[in-house]
Amino acid sequence: MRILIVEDDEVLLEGLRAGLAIEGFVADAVETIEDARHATEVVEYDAVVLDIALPDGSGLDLLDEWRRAGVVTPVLLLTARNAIRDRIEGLDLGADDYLGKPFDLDELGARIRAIGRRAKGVASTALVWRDIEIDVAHREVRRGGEPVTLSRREFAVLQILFEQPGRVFSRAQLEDRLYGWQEEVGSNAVEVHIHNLRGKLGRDLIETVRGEGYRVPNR
Amino acid sequence: MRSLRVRIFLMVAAVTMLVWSSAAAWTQWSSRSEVQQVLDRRLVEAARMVSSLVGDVQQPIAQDQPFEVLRGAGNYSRQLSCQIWTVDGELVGRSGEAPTAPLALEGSGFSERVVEGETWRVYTLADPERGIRVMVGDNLEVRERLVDDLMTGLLYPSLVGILALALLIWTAVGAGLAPLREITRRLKARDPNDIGPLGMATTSSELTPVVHSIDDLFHRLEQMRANEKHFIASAAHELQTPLAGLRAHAQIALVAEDGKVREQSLRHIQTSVDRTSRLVHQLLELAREEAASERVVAAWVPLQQVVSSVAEGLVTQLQRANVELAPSRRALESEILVEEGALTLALRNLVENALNHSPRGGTIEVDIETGSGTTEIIVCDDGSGIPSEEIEKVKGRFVRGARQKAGGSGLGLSIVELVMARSGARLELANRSAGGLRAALSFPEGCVRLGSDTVSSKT
Repeated sequence: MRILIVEDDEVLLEGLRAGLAIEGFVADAVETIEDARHATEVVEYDAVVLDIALPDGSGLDLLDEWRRAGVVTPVLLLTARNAIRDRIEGLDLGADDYLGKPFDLDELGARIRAIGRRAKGVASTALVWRDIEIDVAHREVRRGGEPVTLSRREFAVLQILFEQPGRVFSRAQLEDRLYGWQEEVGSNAVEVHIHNLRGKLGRDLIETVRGEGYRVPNR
Repeated sequence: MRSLRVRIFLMVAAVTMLVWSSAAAWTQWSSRSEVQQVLDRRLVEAARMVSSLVGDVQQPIAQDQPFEVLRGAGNYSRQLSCQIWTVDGELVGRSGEAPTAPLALEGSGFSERVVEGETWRVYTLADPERGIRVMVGDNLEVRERLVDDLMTGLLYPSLVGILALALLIWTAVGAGLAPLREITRRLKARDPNDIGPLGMATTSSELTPVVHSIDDLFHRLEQMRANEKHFIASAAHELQTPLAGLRAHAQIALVAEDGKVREQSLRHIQTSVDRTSRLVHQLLELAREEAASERVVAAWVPLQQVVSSVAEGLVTQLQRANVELAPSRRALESEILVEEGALTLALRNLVENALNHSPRGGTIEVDIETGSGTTEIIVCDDGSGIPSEEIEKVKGRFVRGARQKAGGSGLGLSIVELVMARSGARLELANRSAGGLRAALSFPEGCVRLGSDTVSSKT
């Protein structure tokens, strides 16, 4: 999942970036509302972690602006203002979840995954395709009950394709979701991941749609 | 604690009683003399009437057959006694209950005499032509009783009146104090958290200032409470955020397999702890300054002393950032009339602020400038300054410049403003034309003694 973190405290921002990377997320980080606006125009994020008190305004205003403009990206509000009224205000403005500072990184990760699932209409953390099962929460993959070891990126590619079986993802779309701004993307990185996945989980798992991209066929 | 109602009642009642008793005394006195005059005139008239009726005294009237003069003329006329004497001193006639001893001695006109144990008021009419003297007298005791009865007759209704008056005054005072009771009722009925206005639009002109003062007080309380709430919320946010950062990095350091990631997190923890402790320190300073008494013990303080104390405190940070603190000679030779601790605190915050915004190898200048009526202590940095639209906002608490990376708490300038306001100085911020921020502590005239070189250059 590629997520955007909007937080003005440098130390916390770094912590979120590093922590969420460990959790398997691809995270971009910005410190102001203005930068957040620009970032969401360029990249389609799976979720946004939004702080309320930002130097150039309130995160709630940005949220309101997004929802009015029809942006449906799931938003998790992050704030020190833990009063119930603030939570209600945030949720009523269209936030999908709320987490008070300080928080546990694992909980934050779980909540981001949860709002991401809900946005895609998936209820379970376990995705099953034929004899392949993936457990998103624990990042485990089994084929015929046997554990299969995948790299972080391979898992991410598999998750993206599994969540929406039948949908074709272009190479650019996959790259977008796999790599943050600071990361260098090798020209054939996606092909390498697809190749490895086919090798570990079977050739028929991922179809190549010529000229369009890749998909996991509907059962 | 005495009731206002009782107090006003007693005052009004006392004044009323005073006026009323003076009026009563006056009435008593004037009625009494009026009655005396009337009764005296009656004596004169009776004497004349008797005299005209008597006729000739050549035929003396039998002594033991006293004729009754003016019998049946009224309740008190019986007490009216009459004697007719010859000029030789012989009693020729008297009314029924008149004593035989003469009611008056020599002469004519009014006189008073005690006869047979009773005091008489007598009018003597001498008629030398007919050789008689007519004496008509009033028994004084009876007369007094008449006057007393009259006075009592006046007094009783007045006493009833004064009781009714007291009752009316009591009720009226109570009614007059109704708005005050209403205020009390509203204040009593109020929830402790309710600090809205009393909501009494129409009240008496005397109470309007009171109601306004109460409303004003409530308003200020409300504002103070709102400020406090805001401050606490901000302080919570300011502390929660670094805590969240610490928590996140601690967790990363625990689980990270990559040594570099772990080291990075530990470094972040270190930075964050430093910053958080500075924030806590500043919060305490702010709380201390707010709690400090309004009185300031000002003395002439050499600016050099303050600058060196600030420089000493920041020596490590200055060295680490490779920033030079450069006070001018003129500034160092000046003296300020101020509380030393307050100026040190203000100047340290300004220098710290400048340091946070200085580029590596930058210079922080401290100088003193005189303007019209004010003298300014100036701290300048060669950083990027503050965008003009933010320059007024940054003095607010927890407000940092939007593009600020320096990690200040946003409290420094608030602290400066607070401590300087108590010394009568103001904080003014401006961007320098050459770039960087110019922060000025503006002191009123008479609070600064400039260094000697300035004085000599002026003369």
